[in-house]
Amino acid sequence: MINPDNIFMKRFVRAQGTNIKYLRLLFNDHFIIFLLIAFGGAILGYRQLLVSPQFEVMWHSQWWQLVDVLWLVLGLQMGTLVTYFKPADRFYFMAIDQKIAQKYLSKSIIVSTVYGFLWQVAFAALLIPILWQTQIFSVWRFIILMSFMISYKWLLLLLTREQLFLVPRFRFLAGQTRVERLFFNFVIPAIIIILLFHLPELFTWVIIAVWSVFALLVGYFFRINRVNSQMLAIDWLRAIPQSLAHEQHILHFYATFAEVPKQSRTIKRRRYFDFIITGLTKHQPVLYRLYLIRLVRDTEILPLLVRLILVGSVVIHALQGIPIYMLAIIAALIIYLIIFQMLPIYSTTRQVLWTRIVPQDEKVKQLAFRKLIKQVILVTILMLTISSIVHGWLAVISVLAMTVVVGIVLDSVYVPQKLK
Amino acid sequence: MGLKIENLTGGYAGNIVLKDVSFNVDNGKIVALIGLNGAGKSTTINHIIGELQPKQGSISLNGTLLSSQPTAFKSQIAYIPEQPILYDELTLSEHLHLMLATHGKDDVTSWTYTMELLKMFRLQDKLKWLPIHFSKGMRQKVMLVAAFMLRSPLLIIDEPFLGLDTLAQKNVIGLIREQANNGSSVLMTTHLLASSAQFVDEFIVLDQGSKYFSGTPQNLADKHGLTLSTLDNFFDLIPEVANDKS
Repeated sequence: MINPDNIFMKRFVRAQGTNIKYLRLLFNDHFIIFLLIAFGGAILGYRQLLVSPQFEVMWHSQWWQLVDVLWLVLGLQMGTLVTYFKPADRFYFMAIDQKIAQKYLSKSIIVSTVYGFLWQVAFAALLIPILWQTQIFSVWRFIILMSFMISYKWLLLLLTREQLFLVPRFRFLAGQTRVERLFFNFVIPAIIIILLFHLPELFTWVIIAVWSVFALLVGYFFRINRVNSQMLAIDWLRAIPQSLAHEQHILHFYATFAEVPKQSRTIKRRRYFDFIITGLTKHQPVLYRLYLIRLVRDTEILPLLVRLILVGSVVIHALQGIPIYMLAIIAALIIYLIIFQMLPIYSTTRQVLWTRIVPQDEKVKQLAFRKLIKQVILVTILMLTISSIVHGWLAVISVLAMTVVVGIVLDSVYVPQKLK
Repeated sequence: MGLKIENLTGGYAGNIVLKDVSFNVDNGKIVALIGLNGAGKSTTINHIIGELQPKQGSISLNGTLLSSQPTAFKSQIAYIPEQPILYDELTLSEHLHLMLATHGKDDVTSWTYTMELLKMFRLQDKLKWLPIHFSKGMRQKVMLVAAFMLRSPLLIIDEPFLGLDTLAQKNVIGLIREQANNGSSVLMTTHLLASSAQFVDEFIVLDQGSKYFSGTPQNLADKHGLTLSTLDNFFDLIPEVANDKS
């Protein structure tokens, strides 16, 4: 017998188990060294920015305060409605929509609000040093701001839940356009945050009082009890993809650092790359071209590689005053990450039966993939070396030497091991 | 020569499915493996395409042993699986060129023949399409084209008519016959005995991982008091078949 009272919590506990599994995988890996250096570097850089006199003017400028607002509004977009709905629910929960709406989704709102709260705290916490630097913020103003952020996030989650019903109680939610979503998710909170930033403290108290009454009324309107849940039917065609998309986002996050199975993939045709596939590599080995096509039309790995190369280049360019050996170590870590991110192309290609039965020796398949890795590594080395020019020739030589050596060692020892 | 299976024993990860199975598919012959679900048809095929390692026995094709020359063996096979297998990122044209190139046949003659097959299955104007845009039947047709265009010495088809419209089914029968007439060995699995009896040379009946019968469709029908048109009733007799074996 299905008991919707417990099933959400059971799924929640199972999802935490999965999270712990992947986090353990992540923190047990040598990748933790990269994370420590990356976090250390980020904190160091942030501190440098705060104490640097040339940035003092920037923190006080109107433009920067707009950045603060945008940052907080971006934080509001974090933390979606967590439902853990599965494709099979459409079949097994068909007859208990009422209980799903009343019990299951109520627990979903509580858990999602806790996650939303943590996101808002994290985003606001990063801003605290700058807000204090500008001395326009008091503790009370900050508490008011946080109260607004958390209550607004709660309302956004309630609206998201309402959209999972076949006939939302607020008709307007049935078919929101992009403009309307933009208005709800960005414009309204941005206006209120700007007011909370600039109005005298007394007025901010008035705003938050009015806002609290409004939020409570909306919350009351969207409450789900035994009576009104009878009129609510779940829109499974919307609810299940919403849940699966959320699950995939989390898996993609872990996949940045560890190999994660069961990931759905989307493909982009990217015709503008056809000149590489049909022209430049026409006479290359057929399996090399297969891996290349899979890379250039992939919507996960290629953007990730591009981001890694760009972020790595910017970091190396921007890190002023740190020892040259640190620059070389960061560059080496980026090379490692690039290779690590490319490995799933080989394993997922092998999962397709065609790859296994084509009459090509396993070594030939591996060499074709390693050729692609070498080319991407070459581009990365080039970008990182160019970025290090601002630090002088010694830095350029160090970064170049380190990345070449690490690239060769990883390609000849680490990659063959992983491809076995 | 053709395909030679000798004393094949094997299965999945310690689970023995096939027990001492032997049979041949001579050049120019069409042989159908038949049996109920779990009889070992797909396991046999997975052994032949090199997906599974036999516990005992040998598999050879025109004298080439799979165990000692896997690449040379696989280069002689064209395989149509029950479920279409396609790379999400490759267009139809890229799939076909990839297949031809890995078999060393990416030339004008092969491509001309491929275009004929594409026209036959009404796919000629979909060369730039990605698999996401194909229906289930179209995916199956892509697999058929990719296999028939190779004109390989051994053609393996797992359930050739699954998901195909009647016109495509007729085309497939014609192509199977044509390949056999040109000297290829054809090994297929099917549950449609009466229909396939029209063009199959030999049936091999597998039951619980062992070979129960091999012979012409007429032999099978005669042995069980059936006619070619009522051969589909053979599966009703499978419990008796098990008793016969014991």
